[in-house]
Amino acid sequence: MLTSLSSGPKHGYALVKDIQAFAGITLGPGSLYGAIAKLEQAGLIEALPGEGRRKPYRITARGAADLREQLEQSQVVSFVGLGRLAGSGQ
Amino acid sequence: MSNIVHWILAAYPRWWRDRYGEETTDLTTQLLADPGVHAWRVLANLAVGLIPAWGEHARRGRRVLPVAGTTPWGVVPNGGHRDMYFNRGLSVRSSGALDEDEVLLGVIDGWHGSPFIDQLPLTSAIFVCVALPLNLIFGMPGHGTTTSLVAVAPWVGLLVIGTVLRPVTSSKSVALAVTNKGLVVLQRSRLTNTTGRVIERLPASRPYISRRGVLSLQVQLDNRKFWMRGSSEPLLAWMAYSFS
Repeated sequence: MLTSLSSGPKHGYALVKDIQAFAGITLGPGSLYGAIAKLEQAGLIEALPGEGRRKPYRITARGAADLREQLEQSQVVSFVGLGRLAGSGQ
Repeated sequence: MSNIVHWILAAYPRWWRDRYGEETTDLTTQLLADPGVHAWRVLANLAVGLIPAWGEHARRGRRVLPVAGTTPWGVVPNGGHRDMYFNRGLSVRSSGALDEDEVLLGVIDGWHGSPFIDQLPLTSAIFVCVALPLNLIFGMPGHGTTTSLVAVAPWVGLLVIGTVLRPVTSSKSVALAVTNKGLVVLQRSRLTNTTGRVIERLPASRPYISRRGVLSLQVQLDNRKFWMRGSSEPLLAWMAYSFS
């Protein structure tokens, strides 16, 4: 969700479609707003004034820093894993 | 189909419906209209979402949350309780001590230092005032005034000790005014509960409150600890609707 919001503010349906596009997972309304509630409470995302019933969310500075840290860790694991696979000839 | 969505949403906690209800309804409607998505999976996911929502509801009931937002808010106790005089709600007091653009959200009563030492002089004085006349009037036959004075001597001693220890230990009754800028610590009268001069202002940057029993709360703000008893209903209501 943080990765999706890193490209700009999105409301619920846009989030679902974006995550579906790059991760292949279709989030349901219960999962999505469960995650939104936790991320919002942790201060990683924040709600923006919305139009009607749709409220867009954006990533906060803290959320961006948290996402960067997570992605860098994943990058290290991927790099090491791919390197070892290449070394073993598999 | 919309009835089923309505029924499932009705089973969510109130705070959830108030905060996310409309958005969830909107998203569910859009997903149900999406030909690539199975309706039963959307509804099942909506129903499964009840578990974390109620889990969060239970957690919120057990702890105190710093108020979300960019402003350095103060803390509000999460949990309804009555104050020591069984009053519900908060009294808005000492608003004159606040800045012009500072909004008073509520007041929590409590103590700084030791509640026991803070109350010792007053309690001892009450006992002396009650015990001495009772001893003089209903004392043992044949015992004189001296005996009555000796009987209340321990309370007089505690009165003196309490009076000396209070300033030494900085024990005092305080009221924490929770404002949109942080916390204002005010001197509080133990008899009338009215607030007096401002003792200090706290930004309440990293506050937490843990429960001790039902009525008492221990509040730690940086290195200072406060033992609070107070009413929080308006703050609780305000907090419940301020997550947006």
